[in-house]
Amino acid sequence: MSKRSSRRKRKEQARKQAARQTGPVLTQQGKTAFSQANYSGAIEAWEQARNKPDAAPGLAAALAEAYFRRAVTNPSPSLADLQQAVELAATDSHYRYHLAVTYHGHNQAEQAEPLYRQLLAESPPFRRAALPLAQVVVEKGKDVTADPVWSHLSEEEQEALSAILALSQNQPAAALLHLPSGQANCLWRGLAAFALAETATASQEFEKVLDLPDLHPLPRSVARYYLGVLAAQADQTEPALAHWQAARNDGLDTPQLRRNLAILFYQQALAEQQTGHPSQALELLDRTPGLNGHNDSPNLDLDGFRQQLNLEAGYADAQQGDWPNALRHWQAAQEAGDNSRRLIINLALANEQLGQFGQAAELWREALRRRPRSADHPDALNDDQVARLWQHVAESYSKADNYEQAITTYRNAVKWSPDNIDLRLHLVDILQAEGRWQAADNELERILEKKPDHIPALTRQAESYESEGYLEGARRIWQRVLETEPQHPVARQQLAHLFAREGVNYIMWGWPDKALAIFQEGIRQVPDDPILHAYLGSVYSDLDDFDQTRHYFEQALALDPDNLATIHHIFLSWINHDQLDEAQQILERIKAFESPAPAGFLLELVDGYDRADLDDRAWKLLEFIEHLYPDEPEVLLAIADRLVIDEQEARAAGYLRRILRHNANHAEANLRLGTIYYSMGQTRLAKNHWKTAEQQARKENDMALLAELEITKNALMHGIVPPAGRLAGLLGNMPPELSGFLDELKNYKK
Amino acid sequence: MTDQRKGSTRLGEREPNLQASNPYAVLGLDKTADQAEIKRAYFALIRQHPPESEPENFKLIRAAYEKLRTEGRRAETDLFLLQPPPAWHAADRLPAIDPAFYPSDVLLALRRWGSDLGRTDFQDEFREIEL
Repeated sequence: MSKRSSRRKRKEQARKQAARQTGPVLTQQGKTAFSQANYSGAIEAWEQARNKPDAAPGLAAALAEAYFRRAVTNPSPSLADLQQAVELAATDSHYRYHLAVTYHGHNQAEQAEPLYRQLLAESPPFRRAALPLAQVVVEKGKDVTADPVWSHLSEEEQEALSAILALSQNQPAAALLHLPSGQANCLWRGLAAFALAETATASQEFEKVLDLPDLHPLPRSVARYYLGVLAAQADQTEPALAHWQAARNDGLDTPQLRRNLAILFYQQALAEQQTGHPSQALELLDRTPGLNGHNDSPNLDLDGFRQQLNLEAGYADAQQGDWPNALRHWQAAQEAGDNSRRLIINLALANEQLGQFGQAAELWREALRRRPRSADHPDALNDDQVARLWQHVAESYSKADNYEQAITTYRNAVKWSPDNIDLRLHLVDILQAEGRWQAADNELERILEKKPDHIPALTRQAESYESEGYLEGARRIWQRVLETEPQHPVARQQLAHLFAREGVNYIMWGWPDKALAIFQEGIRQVPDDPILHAYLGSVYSDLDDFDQTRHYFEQALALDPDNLATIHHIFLSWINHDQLDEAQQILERIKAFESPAPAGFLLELVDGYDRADLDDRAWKLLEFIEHLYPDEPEVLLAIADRLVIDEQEARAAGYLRRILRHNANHAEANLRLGTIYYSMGQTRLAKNHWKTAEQQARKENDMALLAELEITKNALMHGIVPPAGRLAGLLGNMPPELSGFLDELKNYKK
Repeated sequence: MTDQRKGSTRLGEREPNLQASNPYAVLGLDKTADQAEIKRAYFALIRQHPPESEPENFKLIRAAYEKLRTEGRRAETDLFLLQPPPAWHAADRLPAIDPAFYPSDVLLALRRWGSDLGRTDFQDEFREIEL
């Protein structure tokens, strides 16, 4: 069925249904709803039925009753419904009376009064209107006894109203004279007794009020209020508080109740505050919502007290290391208007403790701006303190990675304490870290103008020159440091490093003589640096002067017998110059180490043999390494790789399985073993290992291994071999001694 | 001599709180104490908490003293001290409970007393319908 025909069908059904809604049907629907107390449903049906030609005769009266019932079953009776009921049944006093009462209850006495009077003027008079009308007269402050309504009241009502009138005019003694006996008047007796300071009687009468059945909550809340006053006068704070809170919950909202409740909470909070419990005091104040800001409690300064409590609670929390709560309290105090310098300092400290350095920096800045300017002020800061605070601001910015602001504020700090060299050095450090070398150099010059031998400034200047590639300048500065402090360890190390770097450059450029000279100069200036001796020895070996080589190598080893970088360099030098006995001696020296050399270092020596095509020696060394590190995956992998090259795949697989016995997911071992299995035609096994390798490599984010796996699989399974990289070609063409030299230099710098 | 007397009075004014973050509070001193008072308070405390028998307490006392030992260090310490809240003298101006009788409460109660104004249940006023 199409959408259009479906819509047409629905419309047709609705039309037919409407046609079926005749007056009797609707009337019956309304009756059903009415009997189920669904007065809205009844009203809806009967309102429709009224417009039908065949409307039932009693429909208007029924509808009026439905409106009446809906009105009075509402917690706040609806004026509109009652007006509707009155309109539908204009001659019915009952509905007009309830409309008047509802007006009265909605504080519209001027609407209620004429209705009440009309009702009383009827014949016979609608007597129920007399008492509420009399109440309206009393509320208006008029003499009810002179009003025509008086004659419609019963004798008992007249007596009670006379008493109430007297009470409302603050004549309690007169009120007591008029009050008839009986439970119904216990509230008025209680109020009169209270006004006459007859507290016991008042209390008894008010207690009776609480027991009265069907009493509206408002008169009961008045009784509760005065019971609370009596309790408070007897210093019974808890009962007073209970009565007043109950009165408030029952809808009493007089200024005196708000004021007394506020005072009571305030007193309790004050007691907590004075015993050092500001948080508990705050909780008490928080139980007084709606009590703040009323003009009827002007002397309490609840807001000011709350602010004070937040300051105290924050201070207590901070002292206990609870900085999140301290910050919360102080922020509340600030939001409430406290903008004092002391609060700003505390906020800054709290933000710092919570790692919010950006906010802390801004707050410290604000604290600086607000510092007392008069030197006589107890919190006055001297110039050094101002500088120190600016420095602290800068440090906070720096921790917040806001280096621009950090530099600006460090400059402010320097302005306040221009002779503070440490401060200026901090500025230099951050300028250098930001790569602002020239600005850093300028600051360093200013320091060195004042203190030419200031070593921290000199070291920073040397670092600055070196990072700019001005090696000679850097060397000169390090030399200057050593003139002042000959044993300065960093200067010695850096100077040796610079000589080494320069010497290696000369070797690369093919100028061994110049390299020789620079290494010799380096040794002259840093005579105890082993690597310079080793390098110098290497240059002599290039020049085939093996006596000098031996001399400098021995010196290097004597200076630092355990320096692996030196030993590595010497070992390779001997191998590269075919001095295998000398290399063997170095190896023996390594083997004699008390604690074995690291596996990685030993494997690099194997590489040295490999580069010189010394297979047998490489194997012997590998066997030694395996003996030292039988379970080290790096070693087992290296052996497996060599076995594969020697076409001993089955043995290689054994080494790889040894790795997997300890770690079944080892990515590299799985890759290699998969490759071996593939070459043996065991495709399924190969793929399983490759899968494990891939999963592990992804887990470890090892992109290099993933690439290797991809290349291996492509090559073996699809015959796709990647072209040799340009970089690989270049490295392949590099002389082995030079690439070894470069590697060592890298390690040396580390 | 005058200073010494002043110092001994101050030392007794506050109870030293070894756990406090404020070094003055650790030494039981006011922030206005002079260097001699600081020194005297320190030595008095380490006599009470000797390093041999109370090494942890000694460390706390020593750390606090280090922060105040010289004018320079003290100036730095003072910059980053938690600021105590100002004094609050609320009790002096605490108003009393209002015990008065308010005639206006009579009228308030009257509004919901004794007549239909105080009623909430009108079931008994419902009338039957005739349809």
